[in-house]
Amino acid sequence: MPVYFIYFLFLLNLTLMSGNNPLILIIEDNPSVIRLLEFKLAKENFRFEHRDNGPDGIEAVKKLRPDLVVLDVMLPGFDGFEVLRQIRQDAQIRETRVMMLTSKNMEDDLERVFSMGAMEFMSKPFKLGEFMIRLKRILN
Amino acid sequence: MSTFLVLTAVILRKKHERDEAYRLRKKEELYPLVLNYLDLDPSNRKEVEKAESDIIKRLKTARDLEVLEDLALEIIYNIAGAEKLKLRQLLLIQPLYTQRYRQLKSWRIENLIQGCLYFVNVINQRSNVLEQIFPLLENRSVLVLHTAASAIFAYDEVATRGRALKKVCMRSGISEMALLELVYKFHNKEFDQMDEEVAELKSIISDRSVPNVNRSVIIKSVADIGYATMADYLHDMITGMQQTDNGIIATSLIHAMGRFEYADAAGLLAEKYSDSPDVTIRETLADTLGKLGNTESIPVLIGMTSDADFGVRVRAVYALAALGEPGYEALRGMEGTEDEIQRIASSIIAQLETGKQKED
Repeated sequence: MPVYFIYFLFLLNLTLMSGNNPLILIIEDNPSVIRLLEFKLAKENFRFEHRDNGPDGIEAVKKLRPDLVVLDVMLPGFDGFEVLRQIRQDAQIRETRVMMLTSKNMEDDLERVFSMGAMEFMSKPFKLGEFMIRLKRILN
Repeated sequence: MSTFLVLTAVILRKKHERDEAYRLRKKEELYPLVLNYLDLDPSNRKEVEKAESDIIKRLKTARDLEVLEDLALEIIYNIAGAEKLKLRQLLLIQPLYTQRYRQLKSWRIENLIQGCLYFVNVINQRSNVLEQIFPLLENRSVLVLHTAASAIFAYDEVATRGRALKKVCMRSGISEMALLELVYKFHNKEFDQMDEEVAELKSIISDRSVPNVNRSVIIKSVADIGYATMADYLHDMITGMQQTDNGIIATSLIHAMGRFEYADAAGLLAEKYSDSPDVTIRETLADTLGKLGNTESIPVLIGMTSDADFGVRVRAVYALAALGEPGYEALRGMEGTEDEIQRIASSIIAQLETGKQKED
């Protein structure tokens, strides 16, 4: 009986701890990138959700209030810049931290990325280790 | 008969759906294993070997190998650095490597292409693979030639890549686009080897046994890629050329000077080619003089606005417009030229003045 009780406490502790972990919302339509990021985030005990288009992404930001949004620039429907613009215009969610995922040939758009209020960017293809470092830097 | 056709279509569709479902299941089965492999420390050989063996255990058919390869490539395209190298290493696992190597010896085009595509993405390529791939550069199928060359261009040895590019260039009938793309692949950005690559490219450009049409593509692509150290070499080539030499080479050399923005070449080009009998050369010259931005070219360009060929005249007008204020002055002063050219010049001047007014 005490063994089960200890096990119960352990599980309870895990649940409570994971509840405090930062929530990352990934707005990205490439399933492979989503899986890679989720794998990395799970390894480091982050909570995560993903959406694969702009409108659903904005809804999720409003509903989930994530600690950080990882936002791809190229999205179906409307692009990442539009998602970012809408986030910044909505008083309730405008403080949300955003990290943009750009592609290599979009490096000229970096000024736009930062001027619109993104805190960080990663250009694809990216190093997973570097992604995690930048992510933690924003969260800290 | 129609019942038979409908039945066949239904059976084929079912088979295809089953195949897709199987691939999806296999992919889901392999995904966590591959991600786990990606996360391992490569120096821990024991763990890496165990992870590899876990993956191999799940590869029972040729279809499974395809799923693993597709899955690894899907991830490779999205990541960089050490993790990418790790996955390229994973692609070398024995059953997959053996299968793809065997395909290089096949007589079927699709097998050859699949085999070559695999070797584009793996690392630590071996000499026996090169021995198999090199002869494919002579294959009748341009697709096989293209994938074989791409596989060789993944090698880090510039001399090997250069040998392959030369072999490709010796062939006639390759489209300009295909060759251009291959030169881009020859310039393997993963390795910082521009100087060695330049040496190989020079050897192809200077080799008169290479068909002129292919030499001209190499010259163009050298400029498009931006091998800056080639600019002087190409300039010297122009100096040494006679007007009677091959027009296609001259055209690409003039184009290259424009791409390199080699302003000092303007005088030499104008002197050599402004009265060339070849229309394409004169057109390219007009474009290039505009790009070079050297105002000393204005008299030559003004002369070209009354060229016998309409295309040359139009390009000369646009080139003058590209030279800034002194060029606009020349355009304003254009009197007595034919109506169409006058109209284009006036339209450019009008656009420039509207632009200026907006700026003010």
